[in-house]
Amino acid sequence: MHKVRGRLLCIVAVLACSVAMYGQQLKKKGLTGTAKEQFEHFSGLVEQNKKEGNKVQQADYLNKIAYLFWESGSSEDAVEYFKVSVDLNKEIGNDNGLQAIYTNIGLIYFDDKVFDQALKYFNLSLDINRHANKSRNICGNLINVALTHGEMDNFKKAVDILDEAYKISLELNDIRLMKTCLGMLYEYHENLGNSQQSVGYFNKYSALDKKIQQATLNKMEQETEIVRQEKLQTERKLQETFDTLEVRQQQIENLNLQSELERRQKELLEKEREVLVKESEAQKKVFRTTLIAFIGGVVSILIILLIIIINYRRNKKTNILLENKNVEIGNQRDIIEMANKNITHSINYAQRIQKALLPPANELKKLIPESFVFFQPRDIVSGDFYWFSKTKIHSVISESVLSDIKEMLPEKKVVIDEGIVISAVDCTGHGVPGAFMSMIGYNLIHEIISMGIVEPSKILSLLNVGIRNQLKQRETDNHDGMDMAICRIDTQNNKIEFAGAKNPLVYIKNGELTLVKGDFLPIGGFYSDNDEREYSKHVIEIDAPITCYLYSDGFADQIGGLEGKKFMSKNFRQLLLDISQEPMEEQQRILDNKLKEWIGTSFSQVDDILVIGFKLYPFK
Amino acid sequence: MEQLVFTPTQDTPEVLLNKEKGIFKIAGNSFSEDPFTVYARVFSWIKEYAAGPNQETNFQFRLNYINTASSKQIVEILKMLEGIKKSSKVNVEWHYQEGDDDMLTEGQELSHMFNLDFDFIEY
Repeated sequence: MHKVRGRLLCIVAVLACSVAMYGQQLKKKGLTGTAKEQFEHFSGLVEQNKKEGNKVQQADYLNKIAYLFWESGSSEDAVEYFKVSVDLNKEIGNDNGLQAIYTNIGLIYFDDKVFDQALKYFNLSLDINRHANKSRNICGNLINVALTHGEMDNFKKAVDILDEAYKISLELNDIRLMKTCLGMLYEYHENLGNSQQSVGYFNKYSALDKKIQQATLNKMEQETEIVRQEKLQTERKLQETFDTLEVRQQQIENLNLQSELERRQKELLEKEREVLVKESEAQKKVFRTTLIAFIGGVVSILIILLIIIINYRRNKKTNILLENKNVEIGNQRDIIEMANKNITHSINYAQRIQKALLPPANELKKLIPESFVFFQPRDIVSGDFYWFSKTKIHSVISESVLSDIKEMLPEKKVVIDEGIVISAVDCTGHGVPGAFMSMIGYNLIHEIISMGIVEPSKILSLLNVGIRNQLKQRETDNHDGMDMAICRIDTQNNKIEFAGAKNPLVYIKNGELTLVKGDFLPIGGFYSDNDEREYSKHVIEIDAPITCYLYSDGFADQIGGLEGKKFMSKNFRQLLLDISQEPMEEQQRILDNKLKEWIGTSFSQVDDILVIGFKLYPFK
Repeated sequence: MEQLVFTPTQDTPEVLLNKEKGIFKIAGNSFSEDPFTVYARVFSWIKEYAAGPNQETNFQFRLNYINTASSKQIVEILKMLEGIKKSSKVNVEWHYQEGDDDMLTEGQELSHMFNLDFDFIEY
């Protein structure tokens, strides 16, 4: 970027200073030495011309004085003298002089970084040139104005102005002006962050640069050609001279004018030597030019070759690497596919075990005709599970004698109570880890109920101890557990007993929904260090038809809808109330549809989902 | 102290912990199968922070969906915050979506478990 900028400034300066090729190396203030003498000399001439009324000359010398000051670094004095000259030029109507002086003043201000003044004078010059319709000057002016705007960081404005300048340079077919415009356009567009335009202009700039280099090369070739032609001409002339000389010699010989001949011969030799010298010089020149061109050519070719070779090798290397990577990726994909297949197979088999263990969902209908189990695991195997069974409580003759006669009288127990236990359980995690937990939970429930313990709150307490034992939660940092809701339907006393570990029971009686919250503590896991957990016991009377629902949090927590929100418990309970009058099969179908609708296409199921519904009527 | 930032993914939360600016925030969904990868970094950050906490620590939870595994990580964080109480005024802001009783209940239950000041803010 800095390189381009440097070059730009240089070009612009050359353009604008074409009137006055004064360098600015001398930065000393005030005039000294020859400059001082010149100043005095020019001042005298100014006075003289003034007296004589010769305004053209007067202005000319004022300009020269201004240049002296400019050259010596006294920019203020330079401007002052230029301004006096401006007035004179106005009087005599020398527009061409005026535009040049305005440009000079502009340049001085530009160098002094007084950009607003620089802009003013560049524009004055521009106005004159526009009026005179001088395209090349207009283009130069526009570039100066744009450059000033650029310095003032008005890149947008600068770009607009440059667009016009570039158009003019194209019309003029002036390669240097075009190059200047393109270079600036590239730089300013980059500053504006218009990377696309910036790259476009840079490419044009480079192309033009190449063209210019090509033109220089062509010019060099042309010069070589001219030298060669000159040489040929000289040779031809030489030959002609020779021919003439020969004829003369013949004549001389004929005339036998020996001395004349000698003299001529001498002359001839002299000329020959001259020609030889000239020839050798020409040859040298040709040789030098050719050599430079040749070396230049060879170097360029070598560089290009080098670049090609480097690129080729790099590409080759990259290709080989890519190929290796592809093979590697292919192998890994195969391995992953194989592993995935194996894992899926093994999970599928696990699912068969889980299915074998869980009673089929429609078995519940055998116990409660109006019921459904909506069971939708997220993965192949599930961390949610349901448990239901008919239970029998056997009476024993007497608590006190139990221990003595238990071994002897196992068959003499009398069934005094029949009921149904239903539970919806949500284990930590889902998928395989969830399924492991569900195995443990399922067996523990089974074991506890087989022991004859059917009261929900007691089942939960014992389950908690069981889980903590089985997972050695006292000794390890294992915190897995279960949230669950469990009911016992007491058919003899028309009652439902309920206990919940985090999860609730929802029932609808007489068109009214009641939420029976579970206790705050889960089964097993994190929250408490002591084994003794008491869970509250709730009793609900079956004095009218009642529809009950047990569920895991999967449905209410499902993300979906338009904004990826949770379905939410409140909405889920409302949904249950809305569908509670429908037949059980219909209720299950509605839940299924609602869930699909909620998940839509943008989301997927986040957890296992389980909803158990059943309707009871008072038992006789 | 360097800040800790996690951009949210579908199943991991947004995390922004910045001591200088006094921002302590966990937001979004958290139901990754293995939440520990995210939370382990949170724990070690808080541990370092606990060595020299700000005068006030206002910790924001703004969660939409969290699975059980993640809620245990939240419990761990609250435990650590309880530990900071000696040297910093700790406040817990528990944001829950309008109508999300489950998230409110979860926050309320947590507030009973810990000796920490909780603000419940509906959004």
